[in-house]
Amino acid sequence: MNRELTQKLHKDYIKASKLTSYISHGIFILIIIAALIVVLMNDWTMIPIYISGAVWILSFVIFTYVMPSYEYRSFSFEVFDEELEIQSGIWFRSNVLIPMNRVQHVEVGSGPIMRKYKLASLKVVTAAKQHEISGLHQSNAEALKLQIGELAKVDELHD
Amino acid sequence: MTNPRKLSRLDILFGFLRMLRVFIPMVFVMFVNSGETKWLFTVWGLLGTVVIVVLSVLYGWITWKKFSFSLESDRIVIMRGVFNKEEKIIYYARIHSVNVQQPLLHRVFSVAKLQIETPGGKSGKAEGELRILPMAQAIELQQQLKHYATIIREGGIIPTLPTEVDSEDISGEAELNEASLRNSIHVGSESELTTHHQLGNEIAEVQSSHKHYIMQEQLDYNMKLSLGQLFKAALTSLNLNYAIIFIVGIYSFADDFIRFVVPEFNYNQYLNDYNGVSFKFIVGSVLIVMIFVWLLSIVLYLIKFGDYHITRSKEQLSIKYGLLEKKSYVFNEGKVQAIIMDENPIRQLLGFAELKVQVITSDANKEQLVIHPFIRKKELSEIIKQLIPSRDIKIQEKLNGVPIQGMMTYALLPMIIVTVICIISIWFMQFNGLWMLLLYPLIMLWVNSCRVSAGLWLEGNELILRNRFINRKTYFVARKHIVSLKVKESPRQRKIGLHSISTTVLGSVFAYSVSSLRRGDVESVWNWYSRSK
Repeated sequence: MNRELTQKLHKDYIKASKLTSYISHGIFILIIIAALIVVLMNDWTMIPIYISGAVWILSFVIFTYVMPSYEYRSFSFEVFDEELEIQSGIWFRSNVLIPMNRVQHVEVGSGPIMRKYKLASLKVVTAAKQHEISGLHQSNAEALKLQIGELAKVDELHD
Repeated sequence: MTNPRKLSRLDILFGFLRMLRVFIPMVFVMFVNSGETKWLFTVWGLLGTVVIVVLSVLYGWITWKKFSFSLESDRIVIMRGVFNKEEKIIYYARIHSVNVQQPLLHRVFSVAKLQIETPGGKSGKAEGELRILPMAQAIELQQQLKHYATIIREGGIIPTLPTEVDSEDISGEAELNEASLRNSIHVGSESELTTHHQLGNEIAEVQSSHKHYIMQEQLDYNMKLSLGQLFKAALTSLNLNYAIIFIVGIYSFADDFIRFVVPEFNYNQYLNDYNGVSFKFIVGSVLIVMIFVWLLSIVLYLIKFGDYHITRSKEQLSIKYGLLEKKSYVFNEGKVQAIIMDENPIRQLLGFAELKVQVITSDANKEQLVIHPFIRKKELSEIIKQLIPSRDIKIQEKLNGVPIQGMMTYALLPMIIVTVICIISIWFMQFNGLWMLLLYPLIMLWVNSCRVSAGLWLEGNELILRNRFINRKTYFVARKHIVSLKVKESPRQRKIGLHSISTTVLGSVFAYSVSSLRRGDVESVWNWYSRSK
């Protein structure tokens, strides 16, 4: 928890999460516009529209321009021979330590937006929980998958 | 499948009942819609009923017919499914625990349900379930499976078994009683332990008829909770959840109940007439309700934990309890993920506690298994030494606690809630709402007791965490069972050098955590757990 963790996410993670935010906020603004039309047609009160509009602007600014770069900066991890350490969190900073012999399997996956930037997420699955490192470069994720898979291959009898 | 076996034929009946249950809402909806039952006696109504009944019986019969299981040399195979055939293989060595449960309806027919738990099972559903077995056979199978696991672990070979087990000629209850009777004979009179911790050293032979699995087991530990102990445990049980359910129930039904008894009752009229309901009356009725709830919780506790019995043989622990609904669990000592000492305020004062273990079970609301409902704290390490010798546990009252600066983490949320309650009540009730301000000192006291109780310490290979919500809970976790360790800090905590710590173990949905500990204490745990120095 005191040592410096060297591995970071890929720079493009910021772009990818910006794009995700654009898309989801785009959908929300469409819904708000639809609601606005209904309200105008029926002559209802405009207050809910004002509120949701304000929330939309706030959330758009935060999740598009503030969060991604902070998230990128605050996330780091490192694979040691016998364990994996992940540091994350913007406000509450947490460090997680996962011993290699507790790792059950490793998954690599990526959605359409992440694929556009050649990014992938790495899921480290233990018997109790999964830990996700989302926003690695695809090649890096593959390499880590193999590395962790190899390191986790300890004989079962010694737990 | 070398020697396939079937469930008891009663499974057809249970399958039938299960199927009928599906139709109950449908019938109910039809009844509510038409408001009469005349249609039931028309030709179509009768025909429909007959079809439903026949289909249900057929369903019960087919699911029974298609269900079989067999014990192989290293695994148990369960075949099931009508359309989608399913073959489930569970290796003996993988079994975490074997549970036999007997809900009330099962009890009537003296049959039981056997559940086999493995780490891979989804929560809420056992990996392998044998729905209906005659009680004696279920117990026998449970013993057999636990025995096999031990044999496999020791590198032995499982003997080939006699095939046919004729379930019809076993009179369940009698045999079970006989078996448990033999189990509980104790010779160890020279044992210096207290009377209720009898150490049985005799050989218990569970079944010796040539058809059945013959097993000899040496009981290393044999404890039956005496009636006195059980009663004391019940008296101090403080089952708050029952109390809350009861009070909420009364509150929500009171209105309807009064209307039912006095149909022309006018609530507002009553309020006007009796505006000054005497203070004594309120206190008195609250007291009566409290006493009633307390008595109720005692009775429920006695029913739940009555006939409590725990034994240990060859690393296998088995627990049996329940007066109406019988439950029985068998698991290996090594599969215990954490030992939990749970003290409610009364017991803490008296120096007693409830001892639980974290094992993997599919029972949704019972992920922690009670291995001793009422234990004297002084005897804890002694008892653990006998029950789970691989764990060395000592209780320490002095722990690395939460400094006063950590109060904020504990108090923040409750204080916000109390403030909101106060604002609302003052807003609505004006002057009388000020009474709510009394909540502040009360909640402060509670929060402070949470803070004072919390803490951790390290002892050899064990990490011990302690926290309190209402009950004080102490978690003993061995280093090898910790799946992951997490340390968390908020900006404020970082500034004053405090950290929160949480660990996850297998089988528990929730992490065990303690908030706002000193940086040095958390660091020492981190370094203790970290493998790369």
